[in-house]
Amino acid sequence: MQAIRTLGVLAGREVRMFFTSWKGIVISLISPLCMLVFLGPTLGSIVENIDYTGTSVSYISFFLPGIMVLALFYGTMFTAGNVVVADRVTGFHDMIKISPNTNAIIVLGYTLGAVVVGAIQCLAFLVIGLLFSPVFVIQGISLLAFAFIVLGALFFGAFGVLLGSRVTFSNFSLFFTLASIPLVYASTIFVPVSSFPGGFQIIVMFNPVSVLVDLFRVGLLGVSSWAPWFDGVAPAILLDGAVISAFFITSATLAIYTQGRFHGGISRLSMKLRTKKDKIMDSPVFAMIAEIIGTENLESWLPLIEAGRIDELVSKLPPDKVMKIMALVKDALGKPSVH
Amino acid sequence: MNGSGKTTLLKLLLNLDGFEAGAFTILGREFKAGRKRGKLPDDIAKQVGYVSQQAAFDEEMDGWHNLRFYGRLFHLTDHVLQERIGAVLGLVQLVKFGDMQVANYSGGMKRRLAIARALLVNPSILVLDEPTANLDPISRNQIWDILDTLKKEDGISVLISTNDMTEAQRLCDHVYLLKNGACLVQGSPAALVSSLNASVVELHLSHQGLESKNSIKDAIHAIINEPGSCVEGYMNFKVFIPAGSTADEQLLQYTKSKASWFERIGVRAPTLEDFFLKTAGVSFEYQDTLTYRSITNLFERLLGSP
Repeated sequence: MQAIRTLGVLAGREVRMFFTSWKGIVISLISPLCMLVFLGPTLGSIVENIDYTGTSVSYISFFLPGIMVLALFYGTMFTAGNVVVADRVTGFHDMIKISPNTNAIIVLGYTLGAVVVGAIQCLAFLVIGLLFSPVFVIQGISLLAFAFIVLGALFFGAFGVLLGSRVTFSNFSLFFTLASIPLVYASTIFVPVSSFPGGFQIIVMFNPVSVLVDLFRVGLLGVSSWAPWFDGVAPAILLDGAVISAFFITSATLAIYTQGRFHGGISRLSMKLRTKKDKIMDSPVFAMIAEIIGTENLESWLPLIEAGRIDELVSKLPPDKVMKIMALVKDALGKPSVH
Repeated sequence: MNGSGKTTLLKLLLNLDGFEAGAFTILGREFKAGRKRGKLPDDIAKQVGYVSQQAAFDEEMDGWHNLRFYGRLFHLTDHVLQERIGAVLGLVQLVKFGDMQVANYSGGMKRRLAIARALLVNPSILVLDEPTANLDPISRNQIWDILDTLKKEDGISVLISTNDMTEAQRLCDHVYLLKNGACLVQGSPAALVSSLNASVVELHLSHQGLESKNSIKDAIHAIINEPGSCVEGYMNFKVFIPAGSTADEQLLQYTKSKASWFERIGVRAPTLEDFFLKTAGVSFEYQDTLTYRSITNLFERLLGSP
């Protein structure tokens, strides 16, 4: 019961943040909205009906589920990743982590909040898309597809949390783009799987974005990309569900593991100092010493110095270098400002 | 000292980071080194309040709702929270500002709100990471008063990290001086200061004296040549005069002979800051301290120094 309340508290925060930031709403809606308003009808005028695994559907009916997945994907993954990375920068993440809640609850809380935000954007497109008169064929089994869609959204959220937990704030946009662009373009959002070259088709079909698109199309159109391989849509939905479950379990597990991962503590402090070659080079004396030792050797030698294995280190230095360094150090030791 | 590992140490104690060796005990429970960061057990987490260096909040929300969010994460019921939020806001003198957006708080108010947040859970231990860094003297004194009250009247153990020796002297019963991730020395501020067993002569240079700084330094050396007995500032020298020494008289005589080089001269009892400067000194020129220490140690050994 307490866990459910905590999930609600964490998720509620993200939803509130979404609604209090009009910029976020505009940015998240602008891309899919342009596609729906400009790209969809344009392509639709060229390809009025599309042969979707043997069934003829209007392009807008084909296109709308793809755009809904796009909104769900970007809305969920970006929200989750962005909130986590921002919380890490501000230190808010630490404040959440010291609360008496498991890492799993914290990850799921972030994920759920992002899913709600993504779902709101996705449903907004459904409402707008209905204005373009798509023809949907919703059956009883569509409910199973919709259930797996929720799982797919949870995958996007957990993947966003994982990304936000691992990258720095300044790198977030880069890694988000690197992760999202291949998933979007190697998917069936815009075209049927048959449009891809033969060898790519299997990759496209198992792309989680394509799996979600397929679940949407099965749910709304009653036709699956897997149709050539299966009779009826039920096995296709189950296969999509199995694939998306595997993606969700993997990403959620990794995201939870990352929360509890050992980042170094004391050793991180020494690593930070060990690798500060640039700072060393800022100090004239060290720069000279580093030059003598060889800057490329400095990092590997510092652990020896710290471990007190001085003799080992000295034995690696030729005598002339030792003499040069001794002269420098003698000079440096004469300089301290406290004497 | 900057870069000595204060924040890292506090994060270890809160299990926000892991550690490779050793152990620590908090509220009677021992935690050993491990490859994984764990979580503090619930019963301990609920007894520890943490005020981070950044005083992180949801800036769009008001103070009251920020506290409610945090209290809910700690499983406090809304009924309890209603009462606790009022109490802690009162304690940090922010009752009037509870409904103000945190983005509009001043730095001092945010820091007080962070203390209020940590107090929500009624902690036995309050951990604060540089609680008054970058605050003006009024805000700093307000926070010191709050922490004093918590310590003395509420019996809360307060663990703070600070670079401010005035703060340490004012608030702490026991001080650990860290440098390069190691504890150099520990003790009560009074004991540490008295261990100096010295008075401090402060020589403030005139502009003319600044030009002759090296001569002054040499003269001080000639009078008192004990390592660490003189701390050099940009326009001043602090000289530690051991009890019973006549060096202070010689120093005063010297300053009289070069009166135009000095703006003023003061003799006073040492403070914790003096202790810090003398103990942690050696060189503040090199802030990449571990590297400096490592290389210095190496070459001191090469040179045959102890």
